Amino acid sequence: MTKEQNQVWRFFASVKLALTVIFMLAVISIIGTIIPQGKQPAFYIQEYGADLARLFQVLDITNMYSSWWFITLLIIFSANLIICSIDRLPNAWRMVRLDNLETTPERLQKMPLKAEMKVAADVPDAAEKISRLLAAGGWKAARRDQRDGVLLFAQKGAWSRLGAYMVHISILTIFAGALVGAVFGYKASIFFPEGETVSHVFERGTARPIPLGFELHCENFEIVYYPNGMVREYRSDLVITDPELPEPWRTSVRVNHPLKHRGLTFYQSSYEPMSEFMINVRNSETGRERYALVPPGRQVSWGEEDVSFGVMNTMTDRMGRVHELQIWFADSSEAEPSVFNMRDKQTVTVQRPGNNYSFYIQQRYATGLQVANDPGVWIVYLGFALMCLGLYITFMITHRRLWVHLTPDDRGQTRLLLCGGSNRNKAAFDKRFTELAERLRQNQAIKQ
Amino acid sequence: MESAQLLNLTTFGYLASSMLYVAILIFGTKNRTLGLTATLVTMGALLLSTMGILLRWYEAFQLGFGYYAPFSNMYESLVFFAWCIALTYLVLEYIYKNQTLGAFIMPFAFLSQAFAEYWPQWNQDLRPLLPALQSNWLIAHVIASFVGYAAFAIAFGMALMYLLKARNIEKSGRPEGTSFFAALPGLKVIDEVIYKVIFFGFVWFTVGGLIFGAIWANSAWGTYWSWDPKETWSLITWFVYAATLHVRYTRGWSGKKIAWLAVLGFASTVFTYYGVNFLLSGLHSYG
Repeated sequence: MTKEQNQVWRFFASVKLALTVIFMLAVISIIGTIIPQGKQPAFYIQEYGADLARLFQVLDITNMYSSWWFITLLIIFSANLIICSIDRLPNAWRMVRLDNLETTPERLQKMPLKAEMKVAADVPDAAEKISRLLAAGGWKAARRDQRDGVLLFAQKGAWSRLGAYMVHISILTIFAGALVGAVFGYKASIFFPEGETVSHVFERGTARPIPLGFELHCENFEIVYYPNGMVREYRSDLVITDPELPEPWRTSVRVNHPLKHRGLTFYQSSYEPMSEFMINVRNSETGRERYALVPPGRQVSWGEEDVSFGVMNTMTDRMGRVHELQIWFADSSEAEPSVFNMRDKQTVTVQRPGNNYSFYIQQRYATGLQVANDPGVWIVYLGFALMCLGLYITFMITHRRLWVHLTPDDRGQTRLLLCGGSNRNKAAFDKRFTELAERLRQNQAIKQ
Repeated sequence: MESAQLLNLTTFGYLASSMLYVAILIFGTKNRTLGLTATLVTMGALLLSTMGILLRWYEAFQLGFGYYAPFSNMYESLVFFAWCIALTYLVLEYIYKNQTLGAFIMPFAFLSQAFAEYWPQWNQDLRPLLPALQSNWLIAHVIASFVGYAAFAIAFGMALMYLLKARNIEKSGRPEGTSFFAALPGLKVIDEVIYKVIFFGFVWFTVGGLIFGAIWANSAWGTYWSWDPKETWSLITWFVYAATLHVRYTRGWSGKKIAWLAVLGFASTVFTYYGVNFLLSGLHSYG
C-alpha cells in the first residue's frame, strides 16, 4: 500500500471521523424536524417568504433526508464503519484467538489482579489439582509445561470482543436493506370509493400507475366507534380477485393489521366521506328493491314502483361525516310527499297510502390504502436482530482471563501465582477473583 | 379505591422519598433509621404506583375498551416514567449499597409524577386506544423505551452529582470535598456508574425505542423509518449516547467530559420525549 493510500485509509478508519460524522448527522438532522418536509412549494413561500423558500429549494432542505448532501454524509458514515471495522477487526480477532499460554512471566507480574500462595505438592501434581479445582469453578484450563514450571490458562467470553463489530455490521446491514428497498421496491397508494374495483396503484411522488396483476374491490369502508364516540377501528372490507387464487378472497385491512398479497402490503391509511349516498329501497310486500347512488339534492325516480326520493339536507361533523339526513319520498298518490329525518346506516319504514317501503341509507366513503413493496425489509430486520445480539454481547458478556503460573520452590513444593483480568465489569470480576483465590487458599488438598 | 387516588398518593410518596434522601445527604448516612425509612418509603411509593397502573389497566378492561395498555397518553407515560426511575433507583441502591444517590435521582421521579398529576394540560381521563395504538408493540415499545429514558435520567442525576462534587473538590482543595460532598461516592465510582447506566439505557433505548418502534411503524404505516420528528429526535439522542460510548471506549474520555455528555444526552432525551410532541408536528402526537 502506498503512503497516499495509507493516508486515505487512516482517514476513513479513524474514530475522529466517526465522531465528526455522528456529530454532524445529529446536528444536521435537527433541521428537518423544524422545517416540515415534503410539502408543496407554496407552503414554504407562505411560511418562510419567497427568498428563504428559494434557498430551501436550492439546498434541498424541503426533502433533506434524501438530498445529495445528506446521502453523501450517510455514505461517508458507512465507509467509515466499513473501513474502521476492517482496520480493527483483525486485532479483535487476534485477542479472541490469542495463545495466552505464550504470556511471559514478566507480563503475568503486571496483571491487574494477582494472588500468590504456596501449594504443598510438586509442580506436576499441583498443576493436576489446580486444574481440577478450576474446572469445578467453571474454568476449563489449558496447560503448557515450561522449562521452569507449568502455566495454566482459562478464559470466558473471549468472543465477546467481537460484539461491537457485530453492532457496526448490523448498521451496515440495515443500510443495505434500505438500499435494496429503495432500488427494487416501491411505495404507492390508492384511493377509491366503496363499490369500486381497481387494478392499479399509484407510485408515491411520481403518481406513475403500477399494475397490480389482480383486482382489488372495496366492498365497504367502516368506522367503528367506542361508546364515548371515539374511533375504535378503521376498516376496509376488500375482495381480491386474482387468477392465481382459486376463488375471490374476501378480507379486510385495519390500522395495525395490514393485508399481504403477492409481495405487496396494503395499509389502511386514510379515508374520505363522500357527498354521495347509497340508498336501498324495498317494497315491504313484494320484496322488489332498488339500489341507487345519490348525491344530495338530486331526485331519483323508480319507474317500476312509480316512486321518487332524494336527500334534501344533511348534517355533517367537521370531518364531513354525515350523522343525520333529511329524506324526501313521494309516490304517484295524492298524498303529500313524506319528509323525515334519519341517521346514517339506518333502515326506516316509509308508510305510503299504497305500500310500505323499507328505506336504508348509507353515506359513501372512499378508502385510502398505502401500498408497499419492500424486498429489503427482511434484510433490515436481520440487521435489527444482529444489533440486538451485538449489543447484548457487548453489554452483558465480559472477556475474563485467568492464569495460574506454577513454579517449584527450593523445598520441592510449588509457588502459585494466580492472576487475571477482564475487559469490562472490572468490579464484578475483582470480587470473583478474590473469592477464587480465597477458595484455593482454603482448599485442604493443596494447603501447606 | 380508584387508580386515580392511588396515583395521586404516589406523588406524595415520591415527594417524601425525595425529601428523605435529601435529609440523608444533609445529616449523613450514619442514621440507620433514616436510611431504612427512605428505602421503605420509596418501595411503598413504587408499590402504590404499580397498583395504580395495574388498577387503571383493569378499569379500562372493565369499561370494555378491548385492547388497552396504560401507556397511551402523556399523563400515563409520565406516571410510567416516574415508575421506571424509582424502580431503577432501588436496583442501583441495592447494587451499590449507597443511599446518597437517592437525592439526585428520586426528585426526578417526583417531578415526573407531579408533572403528570398537576399539569392542567393533560387529560387524565381513561380513554380507549386510537386505532393506531392498538398493537402489541405498544407495550414492548413503550416499556423498553422508558427503561432507556429512566436510565438516561439517572445518568443525568449522577452527572450533576459528579460535576457538583468535582467543583467542590476544586474549590476546597480537599481530596473528597467538604460537608456532604465528602459523603458522596468517590468521583471514580460516580464516573463508572454514569458510564454503566448510559450503556444500560443505550441498549434498552436502541432495542425498545428504535428497533421495536421501527418494526411497529412498518406494520402500522408500511415504512420502518419515515424521518418523522419523533423518529429523527430519537436518532439524534441515539447518536449523542453512541458518541459518548465511543469517546469513552476509544479515546478514554472520563470524568467531567462524560458528565457533560450525559447532561447533553438527557437534554436530547427530554426533547425527544416531551419537546417533539408539543413543539413539532408529526405522527407521534400521543406521548
